[in-house]
Amino acid sequence: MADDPDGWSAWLDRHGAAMVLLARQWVADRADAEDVVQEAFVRFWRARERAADPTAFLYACVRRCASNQRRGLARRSRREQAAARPEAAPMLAGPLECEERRRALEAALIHLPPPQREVLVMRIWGGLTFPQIAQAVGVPVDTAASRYRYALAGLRARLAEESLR
Amino acid sequence: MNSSPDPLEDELATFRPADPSPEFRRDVADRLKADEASLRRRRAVVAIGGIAAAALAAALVARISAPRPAPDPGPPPFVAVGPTSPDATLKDDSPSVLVYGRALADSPEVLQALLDRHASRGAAFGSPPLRAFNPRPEFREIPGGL
Repeated sequence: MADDPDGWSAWLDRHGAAMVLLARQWVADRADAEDVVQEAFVRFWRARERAADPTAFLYACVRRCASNQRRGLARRSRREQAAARPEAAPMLAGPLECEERRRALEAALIHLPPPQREVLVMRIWGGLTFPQIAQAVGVPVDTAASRYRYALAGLRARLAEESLR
Repeated sequence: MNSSPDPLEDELATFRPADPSPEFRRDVADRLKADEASLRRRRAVVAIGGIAAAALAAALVARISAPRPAPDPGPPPFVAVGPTSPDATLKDDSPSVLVYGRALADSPEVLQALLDRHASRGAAFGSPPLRAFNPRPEFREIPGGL
């Protein structure tokens, strides 16, 4: 089963990077985030056939494992410090000419409240629908949609603030 | 919301999550293999446990349903020597523990009669008479007794 390229490998191709990005919203660095995703993926793979929506279940596994790894506010501040450091591994990748914008977006993302941040990551980079996000997070669909709207508004405000400096 | 595209959404979508490290995929494969092996071990343990439990249950059922052996009769019951008539006792000519026991179970008088009889036989051969109970009054009460 573990060698089946059409099985877990396809899931990893489709969602691997987004899952690591989601995990990085909780844990300090990329290595920790990859550990979290490995653990979450094994759990997902073992129980995926019992899930009503496997994609939502996969992100729920990542979310649960990542929050188990979190060590309170101290770890959060470490993560924020790490993200603020220029040498920290970037969370996003894009055209080289947009490097400055990428940094601004990552800095704005890191200042969003975690519930909004996770919804934004699932929606934009995970490609999940609002019902899937709602299932992964464990909230009503309306709540997931409103958190997404607030996240966009927060990002926009933060980016505008940065551009004025 | 989906009907009116947000420019910020479009801009965010031009970026993609950073690629995981090159070891990431290999590590996931290793963990999946390890998990599969662990799962197999757990299943084997459960299967062995199930077989052992089934064997134990079968042994219990066999033990319960097997015909029970007759209970051990044990030593032959003690048959109390019933009272015998003085005449029957007196007819026995040979002195023995059995005869004396039967006589005593009947009554002290029967035993005394038997002993007298045997003594009278012995007297014929010059033996002193044997008495089971001393008739002298000084032996009937023990001094200092309650």
